Amino acid sequence: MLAHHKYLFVLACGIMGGMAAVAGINYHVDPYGIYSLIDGDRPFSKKPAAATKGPMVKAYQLEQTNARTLVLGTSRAEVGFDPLDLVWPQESRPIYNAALPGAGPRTALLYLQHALTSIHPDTIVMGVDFMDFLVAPQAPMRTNSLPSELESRLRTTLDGNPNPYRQQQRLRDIVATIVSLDALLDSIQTIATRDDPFAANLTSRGFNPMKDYIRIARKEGYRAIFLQRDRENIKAYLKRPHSLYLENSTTSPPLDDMKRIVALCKKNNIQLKLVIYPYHARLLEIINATGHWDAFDQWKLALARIAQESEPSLITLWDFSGYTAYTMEPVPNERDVQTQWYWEAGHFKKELGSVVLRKVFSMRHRAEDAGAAIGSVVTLETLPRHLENIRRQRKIYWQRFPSDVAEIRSMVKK
Amino acid sequence: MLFNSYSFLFAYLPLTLLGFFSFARVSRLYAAAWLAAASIFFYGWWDIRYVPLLLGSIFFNYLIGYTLTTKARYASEITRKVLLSIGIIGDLLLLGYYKYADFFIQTFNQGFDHQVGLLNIILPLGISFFTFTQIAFLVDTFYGKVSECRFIHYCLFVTYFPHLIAGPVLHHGEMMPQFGKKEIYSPQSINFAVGMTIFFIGLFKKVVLADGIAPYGNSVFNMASRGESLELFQAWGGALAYTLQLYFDFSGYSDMAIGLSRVFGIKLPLNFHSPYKATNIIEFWRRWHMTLSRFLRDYLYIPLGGNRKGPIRRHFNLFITMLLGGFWHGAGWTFVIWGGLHGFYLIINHAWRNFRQSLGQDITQSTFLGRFAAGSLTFLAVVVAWVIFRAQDIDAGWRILYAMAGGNGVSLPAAFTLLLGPLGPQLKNVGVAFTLGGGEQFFMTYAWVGSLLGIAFLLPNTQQLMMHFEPALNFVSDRQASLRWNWRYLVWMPTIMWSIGVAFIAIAGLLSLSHPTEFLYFQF
Repeated sequence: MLAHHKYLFVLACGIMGGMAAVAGINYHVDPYGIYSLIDGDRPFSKKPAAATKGPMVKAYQLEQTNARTLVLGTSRAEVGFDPLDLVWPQESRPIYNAALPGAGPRTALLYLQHALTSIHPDTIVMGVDFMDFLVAPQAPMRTNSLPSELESRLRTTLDGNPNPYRQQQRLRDIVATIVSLDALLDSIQTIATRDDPFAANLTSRGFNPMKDYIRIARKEGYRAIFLQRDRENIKAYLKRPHSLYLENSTTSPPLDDMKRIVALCKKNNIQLKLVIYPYHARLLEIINATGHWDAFDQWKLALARIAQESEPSLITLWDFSGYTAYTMEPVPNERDVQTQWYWEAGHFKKELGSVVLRKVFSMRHRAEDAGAAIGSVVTLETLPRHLENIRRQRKIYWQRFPSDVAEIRSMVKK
Repeated sequence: MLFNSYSFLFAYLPLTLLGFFSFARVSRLYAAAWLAAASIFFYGWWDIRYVPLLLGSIFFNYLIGYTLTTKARYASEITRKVLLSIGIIGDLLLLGYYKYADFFIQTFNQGFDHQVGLLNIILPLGISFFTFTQIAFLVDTFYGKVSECRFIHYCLFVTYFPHLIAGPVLHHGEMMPQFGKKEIYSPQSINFAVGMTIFFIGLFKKVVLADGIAPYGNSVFNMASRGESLELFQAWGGALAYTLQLYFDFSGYSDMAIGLSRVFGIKLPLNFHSPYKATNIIEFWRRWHMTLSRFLRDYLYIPLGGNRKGPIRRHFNLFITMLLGGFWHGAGWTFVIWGGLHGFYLIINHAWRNFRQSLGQDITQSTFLGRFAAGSLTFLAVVVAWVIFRAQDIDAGWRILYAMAGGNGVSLPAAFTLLLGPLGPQLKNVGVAFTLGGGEQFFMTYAWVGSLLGIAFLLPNTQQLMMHFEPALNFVSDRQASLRWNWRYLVWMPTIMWSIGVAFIAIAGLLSLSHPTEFLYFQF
């Protein structure tokens, strides 16, 4: 038995000592990879918990990077374009992958503005996703009084002014990453999975290698993953409106954001390479079967217009969404057969990302070779023929993969 | 301000304590006034606009109470009754306007196919609680049961920050005398030690346990409100997760209130006593939200006639009391149904007792098996009622109950096929489906549910842990608890082991403050 004041003293010391120990562990292990940026310097180089915390992690990593090339876009770009890939030209290195899962043009714009306050990249590779541009015609314009949690930690607000909430959010982030139970559990997980070759990760260059998917694929087989994600994609596309523009207007919030990104690049003399992702043919069939194909074509035209109206020498639009040997990669039925190019129809592996990058960086603005094996630069002039081409190839796909097409269509009907 | 926020723990609480004990050296009245002022600040932190409402309500009720004890003390019965009625009706009108106006308009619109515009009133925090405490004060003043009547003490009794927002529903008779005691005006290390220990246990219950299990209940109730169909294990997982979330949230809050108040030397009444260990519904209501049950009994059930007017009226009174108790929780049919359901449960419970007594059985005697069966049935009935209580609307509640009854079949995540081994195909034969995905969600839901059920059913509660230090006002150290041999070692004493143990749960609680969430009972 202690006297009550002694009990309180031990309790207070215990709490303070314990909190200090937790803070020390979390700072040293750094489960989200925001306190030490160089992989080699990171005592625990794999960061499984960072993989799902991209918006926070990348906001801080962007402040510390010295990248000359930025990757923007959605999760497809985050897992597809590896900043350490050897195909990146020497003069555009180092590269930082600032793409974020589910990030439409609004998020890309915010993160680009944030990045430009501290670095001066000369190239940006930006993946654009069709689904982000489908809007309800009566979509209310967003009135923006308070920043969302996503924006609150960035240096600038949406309109480009200094963000007054940043210090507050920074403090909250420090608390959440240093003195929180979640961070402690994530630190423990980081230590425990240190030697796990299949642990999730987000590298110090913002790349998500999807190693955790390999384990799932081994356990369930690629076909199961394709099917599950197809179902989710169908659900999402069926929910989406079919329109690209607001009522009585020739634009929409995502297209406006896109224009602002283009304008920012022009102003800062940055080469912008807009990449329409190499969707797997099954996903193209989902777009078709859910009745979005016309909008898909229109969308490419809208992007080409934005690129052309701005500064064609700086802004190029690449379309990789055709039917090629890559995008028609068969889905293996056997559980132990690996795919070469795709995790599932929506997400390509970095191997295909490498092919895309090689194409994008090997030639500059040669619009004339539309219809080449994979991807090509498209302009307002070449697009009509290019789109016609893709529709023709689509028929070939329908003939060559009738069972895949039937499967997708029956899932859509259900 | 939330108890589970940095600003409360590291700024508000230390400053309020410092001010209280500093003023107390000069004058006890100043100290009480400081505490009342700090409590009003605590209230105004959310929405300063409602501070005048709170103060207005306090002045109004004090004025009526004061008149009843002074000027109108010897006035005619009629005059006094009129005064009391003005007070109660005024309180109920205020509550009715802020809490129920939109509900009545909506119901009217639906019933008569009209389109009367909604008022879109934001519910002032704590209004349900401070209305009730003050009605009790008025009624007791009318009957001459109130002795202590200093305005500062009255104001402090109503606004006192540990209970202001979500109870316990305090009774002036147990609080005002405490404010008059001189011991509370100087800091006592025993009160700090006991109070902070109770507070940290409550904090742990709220931010680690209740907030930890919350997502698993929410996801299921959200699915149901979107009209998605659920299968048996999902529905049960969601219902049990909410059952446990609500208990740990509200009892955690009550512990925190009791602990904080104890630091000031003031004991609050007990609000929870392991309700899920109850073996019948009557007992459940003696263990769950005890101060509300007490209020409803003394100021609604007994004035309605209680059990003095024959068995039929008794059951009717019981039912009405529970119905209104349900409605008190919120302006919605789900709450009314929940209250009605409990009223119905209670009637059955009383009828069953009468039946057993008529057979000449001694209802105080029971076997372990009997208690186990009765406890399970009681818990099941409570869970079913919580589903309606939590559901967005009646349809969503019904959808979950339907799934819990097996209406949509049974399925397991396909990931479990390997685990189940040869049992898998057999389950398939009896109609269990195996679906892709959802394995982690399933596992986590039941891991949380299992652990928290274990805590709720097998461990002693906060009061039992603190039994040697009179943790709460109406705490009676129960015989069963002290008899359990394995609990003897768990009873709190100011020892090194306990200080280290409490430091651990305090650290876990403090580490979970980065996403402060509101307490569920703030919405009622």
